[in-house]
Amino acid sequence: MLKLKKQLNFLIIEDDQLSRLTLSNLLKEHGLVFEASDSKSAIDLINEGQFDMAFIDLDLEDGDLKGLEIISPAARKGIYPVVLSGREEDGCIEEAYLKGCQDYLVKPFNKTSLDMVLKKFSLIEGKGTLRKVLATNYITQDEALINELEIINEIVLNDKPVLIFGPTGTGKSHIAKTIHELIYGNDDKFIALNCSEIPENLLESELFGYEKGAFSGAEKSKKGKLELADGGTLFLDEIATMPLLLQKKLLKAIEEKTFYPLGSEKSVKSNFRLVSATCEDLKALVAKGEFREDLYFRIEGYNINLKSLAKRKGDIALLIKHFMKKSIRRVVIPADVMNVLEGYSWPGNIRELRKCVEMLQSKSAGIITLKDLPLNILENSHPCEESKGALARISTESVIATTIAPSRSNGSFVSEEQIRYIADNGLKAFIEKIEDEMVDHFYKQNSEKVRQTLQQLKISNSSFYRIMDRLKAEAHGQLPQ
Amino acid sequence: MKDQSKLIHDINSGLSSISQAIELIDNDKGNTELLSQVTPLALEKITQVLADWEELKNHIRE
Repeated sequence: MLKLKKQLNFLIIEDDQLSRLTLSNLLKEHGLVFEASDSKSAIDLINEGQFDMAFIDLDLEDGDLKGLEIISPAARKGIYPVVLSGREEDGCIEEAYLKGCQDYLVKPFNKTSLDMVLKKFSLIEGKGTLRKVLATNYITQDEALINELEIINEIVLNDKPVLIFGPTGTGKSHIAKTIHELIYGNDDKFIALNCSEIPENLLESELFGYEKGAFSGAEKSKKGKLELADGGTLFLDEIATMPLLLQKKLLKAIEEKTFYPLGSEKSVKSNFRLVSATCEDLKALVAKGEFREDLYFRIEGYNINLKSLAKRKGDIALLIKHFMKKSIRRVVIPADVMNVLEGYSWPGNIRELRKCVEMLQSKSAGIITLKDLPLNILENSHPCEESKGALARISTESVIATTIAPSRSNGSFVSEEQIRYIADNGLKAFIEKIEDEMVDHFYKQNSEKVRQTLQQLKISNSSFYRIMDRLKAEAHGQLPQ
Repeated sequence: MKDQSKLIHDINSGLSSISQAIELIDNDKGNTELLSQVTPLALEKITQVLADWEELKNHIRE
């Protein structure tokens, strides 16, 4: 059963009492349902109430196609309008969409279509959730990668398979789990199996399970991953390493959603969403006959390509900051050290970077120096000729100096005027002022392009929107929260 | 008297409403309260669809 994250307010506008009753029964498990049978009472309810979604029949008690007149007022009130109609004429559907309808379902519709619409609404409404996931679960400001990940919006709306490509350590499992959590709201029924970690002869029993006595050592029956994933997600990592014979058996299980555990004559049904991942070029393996072509076409659907860290160097500083926040003990990474870290290719990608940050955090010194870095990083890093960190510091310094304190004479990073400002208003107000001015400055300088601004400022999405909300509140004369 | 296109539309709409009601009852078999709410409305709708169908047949014959 579809589970929405919050209870919604629905408005059903339908002249037929039986249809109203049916739809109302389907919707009431997700929230409160209100009903209207003509356009006038519908408009009254829209004006008086607070609704999340409106299900609108086009032909109502007060006339055919009267429902079309309700779509725009509903959309203007921020309600998500869905048309439910027996009319299939293109002109009618087009007019409904032009008036602001979000989905058009032709009657009779089934529960699956309705669930799809509810899921889409939930996702659109929770756009912030997806943004938050990308800001906290999968850290990136790389425009191309974000565009790649936007496919997740479509993935969560249906049950087509997902295939994630990417070098080791780029977070393939993390993305698979994120997709599952976006759909189900928790990590229950997320069943993962790394095909390369299990010996070939055990992989079959792990996947399909077995009956007691199926082979020597099978002292009791065990459910396989396929069965455990029923109603959830089966994540097969490193699928390219699966033996060819097993690939055939898996293909059958995916297609028929039914399989036989080892030693069992009784078939088991399992309905799961398949998410696979690999760091190999599967097409090349298919060409070489090392991966079944039919399985390849079965497991691909929505493909996600995760780039290596070397191809998105702008994310390195963000990731370091993100991993550093995870520890209670804070250390400082000065610009020269950061420059070396940014100049390293990170062949182990995010996994290697995380390990490195954890290692630096365990150093006894609070301020990390170049000497603290692992030798392989120092030897293989190719930092920019000019230190990016130092450049960033100089440029920030000049902007602050011209906006808050035009002159400083004591050689300190903070001018006397700024110190007076802090003394009068507090450090928090000073930091907030700098945040506000810098975000405003770089946002305008980047022609109001969010991603460029984030890359330049090296701040997360959530920080950016927090500051923007504050700027908006200040612009409207409200007190910032 | 309804015109032919209105009759077709009403029959289609009535059948869809009946089929959805049947699916709803089928998915919640033990719900007697729902059954008692749906049954009279479904019977009424069936009668209406049959009447529309007879009228449509007359249109076709003409």
